[in-house]
Order: sequence, then C-alpha cells, then structure tokens
Amino acid sequence: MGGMTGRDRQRAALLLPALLLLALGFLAPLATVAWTSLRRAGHFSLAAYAEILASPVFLDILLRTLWMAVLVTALCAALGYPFAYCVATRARRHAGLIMALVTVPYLTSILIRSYAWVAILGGGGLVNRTLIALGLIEDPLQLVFNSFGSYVGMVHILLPMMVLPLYAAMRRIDGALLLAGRGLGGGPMPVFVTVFLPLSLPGLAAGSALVFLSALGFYIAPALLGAPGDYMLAQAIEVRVATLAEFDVAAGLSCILLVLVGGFLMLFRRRIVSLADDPASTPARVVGVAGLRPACAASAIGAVPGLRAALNAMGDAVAPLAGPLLHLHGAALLVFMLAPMLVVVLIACSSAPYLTFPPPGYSWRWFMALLDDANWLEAAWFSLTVSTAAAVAALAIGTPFAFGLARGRFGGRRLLWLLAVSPMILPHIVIGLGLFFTFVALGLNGHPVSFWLAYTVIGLPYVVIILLSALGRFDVDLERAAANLGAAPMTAFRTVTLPLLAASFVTAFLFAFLSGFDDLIIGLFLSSPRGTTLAIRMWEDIRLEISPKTAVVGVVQLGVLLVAMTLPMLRTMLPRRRVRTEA
Amino acid sequence: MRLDLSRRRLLATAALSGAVAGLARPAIAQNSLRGTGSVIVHFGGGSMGEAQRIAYSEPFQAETGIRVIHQAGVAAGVQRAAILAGAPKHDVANISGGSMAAFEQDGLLQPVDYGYWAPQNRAGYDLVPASQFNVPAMLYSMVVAFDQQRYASRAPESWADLWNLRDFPGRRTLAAGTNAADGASYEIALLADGVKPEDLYPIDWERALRSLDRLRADVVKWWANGAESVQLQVDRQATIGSAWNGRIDGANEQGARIGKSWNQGILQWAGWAIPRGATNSENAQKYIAFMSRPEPQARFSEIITYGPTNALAFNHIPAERAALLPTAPAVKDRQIVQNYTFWNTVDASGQTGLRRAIAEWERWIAARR
Repeated sequence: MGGMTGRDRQRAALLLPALLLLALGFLAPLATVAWTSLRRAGHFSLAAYAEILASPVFLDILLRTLWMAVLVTALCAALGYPFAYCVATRARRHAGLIMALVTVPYLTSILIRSYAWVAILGGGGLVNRTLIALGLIEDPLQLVFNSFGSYVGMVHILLPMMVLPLYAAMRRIDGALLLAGRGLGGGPMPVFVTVFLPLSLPGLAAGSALVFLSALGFYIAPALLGAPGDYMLAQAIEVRVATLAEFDVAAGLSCILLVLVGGFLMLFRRRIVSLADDPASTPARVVGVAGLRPACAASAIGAVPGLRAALNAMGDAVAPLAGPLLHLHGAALLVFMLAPMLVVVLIACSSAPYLTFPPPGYSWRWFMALLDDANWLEAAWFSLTVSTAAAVAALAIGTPFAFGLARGRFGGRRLLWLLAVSPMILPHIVIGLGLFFTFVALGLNGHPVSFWLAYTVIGLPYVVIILLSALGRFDVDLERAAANLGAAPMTAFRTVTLPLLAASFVTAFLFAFLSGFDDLIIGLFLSSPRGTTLAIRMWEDIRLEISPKTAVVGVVQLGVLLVAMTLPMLRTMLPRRRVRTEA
Repeated sequence: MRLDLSRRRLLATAALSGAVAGLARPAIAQNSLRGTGSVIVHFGGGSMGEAQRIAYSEPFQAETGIRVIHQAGVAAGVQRAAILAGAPKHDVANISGGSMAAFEQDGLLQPVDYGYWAPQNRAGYDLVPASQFNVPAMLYSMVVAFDQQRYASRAPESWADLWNLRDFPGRRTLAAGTNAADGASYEIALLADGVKPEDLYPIDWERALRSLDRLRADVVKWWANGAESVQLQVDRQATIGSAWNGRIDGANEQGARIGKSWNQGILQWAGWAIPRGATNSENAQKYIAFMSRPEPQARFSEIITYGPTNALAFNHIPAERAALLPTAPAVKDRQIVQNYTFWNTVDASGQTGLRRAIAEWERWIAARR
C-alpha cells in the first residue's frame, strides 16, 4: 500500500463504511464462532475439529453439498441464460414486468411454497393427474420426495439470482457492436459467440456466484421436497445448533466450510469478478472487450474459413427455429416460476378450514383472518421497515465499496472482496449465533437496530457481487469523456454511470431487501418483544399446522408487487414535467 | 418491591402451612399471585397458542395484574445460547422433555418456587412429577395415524401393523431421524420389530436401523416437522404413519378423517422452566404456579387435545372430552412414557442418545443413498 497515489487513497476510503459494518456485524461474530469452535468444556480444545475430520459422514455431507450446489448452479445457468437472452433481445418492452414476475417465488414462505410443489408434483398432483387423464401414463410418476423434487425446489427459488444479473449485463451490451459484427461479415451465430457471449459473461459469473453461494446454505427445500439422502451441510449444522446445542462442532463445520469455499472463490476469483489491473480488465482491455475484440474475433473468423462456414451453417440452420424456441423456453420457464404461486393464490381463497388442494370452495375468510390479526400486521410492518432500511444501507455502503474495489489499485483487494461476500458462505444459523453474542455484548439485545445491522450484513454480498460484475467491464471511457467535458466526478457518476447501471442497482437492492425480508433463522436469535418479524409469526403458525393464512401473506405481497409495477406505467402516461438532457 | 414480594410469599407460605382449613388454602394461594410489571412467556402459535392465551395468559393477567407478553418459542439450542449469553428469550420457557435434562445438568435453570403452589396441585403431577427445576406443561403422544377409509375393514393397532405391508398396503411416513427423541422413530422401529416396551432402553441402534431398512422403500417421505406428518395424510400422499395425537385431532376437528390408535403410543412431554438470568423471575414463578391449577389446565385440554399434567384437572373435564386425551385413565396404560433419561445419558461411545440418534441417521441415509 506504500506506493498508493492520492486517487487510490480516495478509492480506498470508499471501502471504509462497508469495512466498519463488516467489522462489527461480521468479523466480531465470526471471531465468536471461531472461538467457540476451539473450546470445549471451558478450555482450549481441537476436539471439535478432530471429530469432524475423523468422521467419514461429514466428508460425505460436505462433498454432497458442494456437488448439489454446483449442479444447481449449472441448471440455473442452462435455464436462465436463454431466458435472459430472450427477454433482453426480443421482449425488451415487457422486460420490467417479466423481471418482476421472476421474483414471485420469493413472495411466499418456504413451507407454503413447498406445499404448492407437492400439490403440483405429488402422487395425486396436477402433473400426474393431467398425464393420467391424457392417457400418457397409467401409474403416477414419482416427481417429488426424491432428488428431482430437491432440484425443482432449489432451482425454482435460485433462478432469479441467475436471471437478474444476466439480464442486467445483457442490457448494457451496445446494439451497435452487434451491428458492427454483422457488418464485418459475421452471421447471427458467430456474432453471438464472439460478441454477445463474451460481453454477457460478467453477468453469468455474478449469477453463478450468487446461486452457488446461496445453494450452499440451503436445506429446507431439500428437506421438504427431496429424498432423505439430499441432506446438506447446512442441515447438519442447523441440527447441531438447534437440537443438540453442540456449538463447537457446528462452529467448526462452519469454519471449515468458510475456508474451503473462500479458497475456492480466491482460486476462481478472476472468473467471478474483475478488479482493476487484472489482465482481463485493465481499462485498455475493457475497451478491447467492449469494442475491439469483437471486430478482431470477427475478422479472425473471417480468416479461418472452415470455422466461419461451420458457425454460419449452424447459425443458418438454427436461425428460423431460434426465435420460436427461445419464446417457447421463456414461456415454459415463466410457467414453472409462477405455477406454485397460482396454487398459493387458490389456497389463499380457500373456504376450507385447513390446508387442502384443490380447495373445496372459495371465500375471503383467510384474508379476513389476516386483517383481523394485529400481531401479524405489526410484524409485517416491522419486517418491511427493517428490511428496507437494511437494503438502503447495504446499497449505500456497498456501492462505494464496489467502486473502490473495481477502480482502485491497492493491496489486499482480493481479501477485501472475499470478506464482503463471506456472509453468504456461513450458514445463517451460525451467523445468527455469532451476531447474537456480539449484540448482547454491545447492549443491543432485542433492539430493532440489531435486525437492521444483521440484515445489512447479509444484504451486502448481493450488492457487492452484482455491482462489481456491472462495474468490472464497465466502459470507463464514458465517465472520462464526461470528465473531459467538464463534469465533476459526482456529476459524471450521476448522469453517466448511474443510468447505465440502473438495472444492476435495482437488482442489488431487491436481493438485499429479500435476504432480510425472507430471513427466519437469524431473526429467531434476535427476536424480542420489541422485534418480531413476519417470517417468525408465520413460522409460529405453521410449524404444527400449515394454515391457509400463510398463503394469504404471499398473495398480499403479490398484490403489492403488481401495484408497484403498475405505478411506473401510470407515470409514463402522464406528461413529463422535466426532460433530462443526456449526451 | 423485592421486600414486599418476599413478605407476601412468606405470608402465603405461612398461611398454607398454618392451621388453616383445607378448603381455604387454594384461595389464599391464589391471592398471593397478585403482582406488578410483566412476564415474557413462550408462545406456541397456531391453535396451541390460542389455547395458551385463553386458558392461561388472559385469566392470569386478569387475576394478578401482571402483564403477559407472548414471545415466539425458539429451538432448545437457541434458548441455550441465549441463556449462556445472559439474555434468555423468555421468563417462562417451554423446553421439550428430551432437552430439559441437559438444561438442568448445566445449571441453566432457576429452581421452581413451590411456595406459590397449593400443595395438592404438586401431588397431582402423577405421570411426570413436577421437579426442582421444571414443571411438565403438557403430555402428548406419538401414535399410529392412518387413513380411516382405506383401512375401514380393519384398523391398524400397533407399530408392527405399520410394517405389515400385506394387510395394510399403502405409503408410509415416519419422522426423519433428525428429530431425534421428539420424532420417536427409533422407539417405533424397535417396537415394530417385537421389542417389549420394558426392553426398549437402551436403544439398540443397529436393530432399529435394520427395522427401518425393511420399511424404507415404502416410506414416501420422512417427515421433517409436525405439520408435515398430518398434511401428508390429509393429502393422501401417505395412508399410514406416525403423528402427534393433538395434530391428528386438530385436523379432524376441521374436517379431516385420520384414525389413530393409542396402542404403543410414545408419551412425551414439554415442560415450563425459568431460565437463569430471566429478568422477571418472580412473575414467572407466579405464571407457572397459576398453570399448575386444575381449572386452567382443564380449560387448556378442552381447547386442544394435549393432556393435563395435573391429574386433578380431570375433575373439571367432561368425560367425552377426557376420552380424547392421551392421559385419560382408559388409554394411559396402553402407552409408553419416553425415557428422557436415556436420551440424555452418555453411552460407551461418549455420546448422549440424542447425539447418537442424529449421527446414526446421518450414517444411515449416506450409506443407503
């Protein structure tokens, strides 16, 4: 850090707010966890690690967890890429609505969402009944309570994390570059392979990182929809904390997971994010990637007649089918994303006193039950305010952090990046344990501020990963042009950078918000008479009996989302008061 | 205030032990519960929470002037962490019988002050005694649950029937082993294999898992939580399995038709306790004393079919309702009280039963993927 220029020092300063938060909200709890893993019966001990390393079961669970996370990431990429491509290139006018619909799986609690999947995939479920009615099968297919069910549940909830960053990256691709590629003699296929695909890779990398890291911490969906063998590390850790209170082994497992996944991320870091002065992302190369490489690549293709011919032939063969296929895939994926929500809507309107599908009749009784319940409304308001405040804070400190990392050149940036994404690696039950001890020591026990801090910490990785992917290959020359034209840095940021990154900001905010709003496990640690979240109220109600009331919460959230979606549409219908001039 | 409280308690104790007519005792004990401030109480949510609010919290608040604050229940491990951090989640905690012993052994609980109790109430805890550190809150049973229509001609009557695929065909469901003692699947597997109730403990892990091996192919789902155990039957995903009696009755009261057999039911309990470091422990003592009375316990069992822990409550429960409870005299002896001492005792391998159950389960599912 000795040879830092003044500019780099300024950029390093951008990291400070996030580092302060992480010190308090992540490093302190992590230290508690590490300390816990090294103590038994009040003394220093490596017994927990010895136990873990001696047990073949833990290795098996760890490998299975990594394998399932990799497979889910691959599935999400394979399904999400063509979907995002279709929306970004062929359905741009409806993109806002489609992207909002993609987040619908997040609107219902995991228990009711899993129930909806059982109603769809189960022995007497919608799919089997339809197939039997069509005469395609005689006996119901086993579609749930096996590994297929696990992956359906996991892909369903993780797909948005792949699609949204991909879409944000694809939107930034300059259409003129594609035209240039065509002008240089590339058919649709070569242009896609040499221009579009490389430019969309940062989005793919960010999406893959988010999906992989989230999948590592999963266990409820596989436990409810999967086979008994789909037992993931987070469940082993959860049962050791919640049931056995064996904190040292749980903490030791978490530390091993953190070191393994952290090492893995450092190894592949360049593929996941690009920081300044990496060979792949120096400003010259950024321009190269954004402008020159396609041309070079296109001419290179021109120079290898065989390759060009092959790609062109493939492109010609696929071209007439590509459009319909993409639309078909997009529609099918939307059905997949929305089908459980449809079941949830029907359940919410059920007249039955208990959960059953299809409902025997329809009524508003469960909506009334929800509106009558002051506790639930109060909890909903509490969740909404702390999660929003946390998402705002995560964005406010995560944005300068991402900028500092993307643009500054100072030592230790890789480790700083790893630090900021680590809250995603540790299972929530362990973060909750560490945070709880830290907050009690700080006198924050039970205070609403503790929720805000905790949710900011778990929201920060989303902001950092998504914005870094957006900034990594961002065309810095545009900002420089603005500066040359006399714009102050903040003005350049506001008028040039911000609009170009708008989709990424929205995505980052959304996931930061949802990570807090959806949380149950950390919330249970922090809960107090002064702070009870909606997720806790729902869990209270459904751990012994699943009531349709929980479905109503999902439907209300869907309603709020749809209203929020239609507001901007209404605004575009009104005459614009101010027309902003942009270069 | 402290002085005042202890003086009042002293008076109450004196009155109880003094030469006061037997009939007057409960009245004086009840008067002694008045107080100020609030008490933070574990809240079960759902219909259990409703029963608790109506039977206990509201009348307690009306009688004593102490404000009851309901606070979401947490897992045993979270509660333990909170006590260790010096900030317990509740003044009155609810801990499952399987975890209670560990809390006691590690000194995480405050002794129960029986000075607030009418003595005949403590004696009423016949099946599971009220002890130095905890008071059983309710009794419930893990029983055979089945589709009444499917097995209309002959109803299953034992765990062996759950293993009998010839006479009782259909898909099964049992608790996943991660539920450890609460899920009771190890006891069930052994009983189905012919082990006598008196020979159940210590659990023979290998034999239990071999028994589960035979059922494995027909288990549609190893249930993860109580809601799932019954929902699988409501949806006819499974036609026979294990479930808690209160969950079955709850579903049936709302229109489901799930049968149950009390035979070989595994009787379990959860208890009330006051964590070390609780801020309103005097009020907590009063809340627990209030819940020991037969009248509110009877009211509780009228709302939800969990058995009262004070047998005197049966004097206040109509016969037809009493027949539905797991501790009803007619069915009590057909069940087996789960041995929580075994589940918390360290075996030759240096592990408690709870820990062993989860380790064995993890090995079992990994080996037979």
